[in-house]
Amino acid sequence: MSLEWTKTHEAPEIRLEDVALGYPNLEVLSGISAVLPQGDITVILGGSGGGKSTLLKSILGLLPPVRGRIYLGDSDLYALEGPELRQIRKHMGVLFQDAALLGSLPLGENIALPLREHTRMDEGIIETIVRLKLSLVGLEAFMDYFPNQLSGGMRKRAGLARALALDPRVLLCDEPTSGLDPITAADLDHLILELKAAFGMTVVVVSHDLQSVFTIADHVVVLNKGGMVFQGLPNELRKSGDAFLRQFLDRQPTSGLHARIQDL
Amino acid sequence: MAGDLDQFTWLVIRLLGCLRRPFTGKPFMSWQCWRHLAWIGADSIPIVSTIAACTGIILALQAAAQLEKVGALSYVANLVGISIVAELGPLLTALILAGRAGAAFTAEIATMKISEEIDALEVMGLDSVRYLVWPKCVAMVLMTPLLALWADFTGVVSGGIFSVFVLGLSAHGYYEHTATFISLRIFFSGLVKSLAFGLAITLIGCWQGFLAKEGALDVGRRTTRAVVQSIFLIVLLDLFFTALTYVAR
Repeated sequence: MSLEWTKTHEAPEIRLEDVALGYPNLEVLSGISAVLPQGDITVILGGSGGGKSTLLKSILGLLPPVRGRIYLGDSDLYALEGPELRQIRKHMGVLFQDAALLGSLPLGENIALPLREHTRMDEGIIETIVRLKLSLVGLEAFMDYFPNQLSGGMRKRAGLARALALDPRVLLCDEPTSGLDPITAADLDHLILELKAAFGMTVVVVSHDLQSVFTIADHVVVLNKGGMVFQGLPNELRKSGDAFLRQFLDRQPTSGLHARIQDL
Repeated sequence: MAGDLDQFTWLVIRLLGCLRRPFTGKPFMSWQCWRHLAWIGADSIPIVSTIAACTGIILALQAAAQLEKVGALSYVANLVGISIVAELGPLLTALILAGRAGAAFTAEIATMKISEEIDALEVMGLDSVRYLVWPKCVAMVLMTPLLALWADFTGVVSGGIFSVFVLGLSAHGYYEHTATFISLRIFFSGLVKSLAFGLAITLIGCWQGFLAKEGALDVGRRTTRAVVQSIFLIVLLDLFFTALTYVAR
């Protein structure tokens, strides 16, 4: 199994080949074939319950597809075992929907965790890196705070700092702006843009925040009803004449719901 | 159900993997182990002591009521000693720990599973079993026999104090009867089953935690299930070990 891309400094592209997710007799998503380009921000867009987070989990290596393959560069993610998977994961940073910081550890320790696991650095160097990563997201002063002492936006930024701890080549974010006020959401969008510009990472963002999508996306994938209905540039998405995409972009209610509201 | 058993097998295999480098492999954190040792061990002493002391006195009272009728009051020491050391010390300690530690293990891991903290660990390349379960396992396997030993001591001594001051037995006689009738075999069989109880409580508690799927309701449901299953398994293991001791006597 080739892991050539991990030996270079380049970010890998992510390739999905006829991916189906769910159970053998009940596929939640199927026929997903897409290329998430190297060094770009790809936004996976879709309605609630549309399978966006499920697809992200599969790209993370946490949910094997029932069919198809997922490649990171030249590596078939689900053909990797033990040490190879660990090697790949060193290059992947993840920001979970609710940040998923370990509640029993202060922020500094949360960020030091992957450094201690994957490197042999001195504690002094680890502390310097932790401070650096926290300063990137503007949380240097909160190093000794526990996650439950922070606001939702601060937790997300701390989650981003942890995702960046090992200087990953791939950054995956699950609804980074959900539940945040517009200013904090915009701050987080710009942070993701700056990080991509500074480190040249391949970034995958799951979102249904349209404003955020058009701010950060280089490439968009849209999921609906268990399949992929669009793949392309944000401008192409804006111009699309597809009925579902128009309804989604123009925020039109479904006719059934509209009729029910009229009846009421 | 098959998925649940697969998860159990996965947990056992990953735990066995921890045996290769029990205290040096990453991300084993000694502070996690110390935290659990203190919490499971030291913090359980008051409740274990109280229950063992009460049980010692209850046994002395029950035994005295029967043995007095046949003029064998001095045998209260034997009955209290053997009942506590062979059976009730380890059993009551395990039941207390199933309610105290087992439930906490399930709630902790289930909450982490639901809030994606376990996914985060795995994605960071950290072995979640080594990080979360192994320190609990080490602490339980060490602490359950030690607490059982403490329960044995407290139960026997409280039964003795009660027998001397209330039933009027001599302290020397009580000690002699206890020392003569509690053999090393009885003593060690109690410790061995405590170790098995500790392991069972950890496995069930952590397994149920990993099975949690979504919502606070599932955390509660899994925690209840872990306690009930642990109690059931403790009693089955107790039956097995007691039968083994009886056959090998």
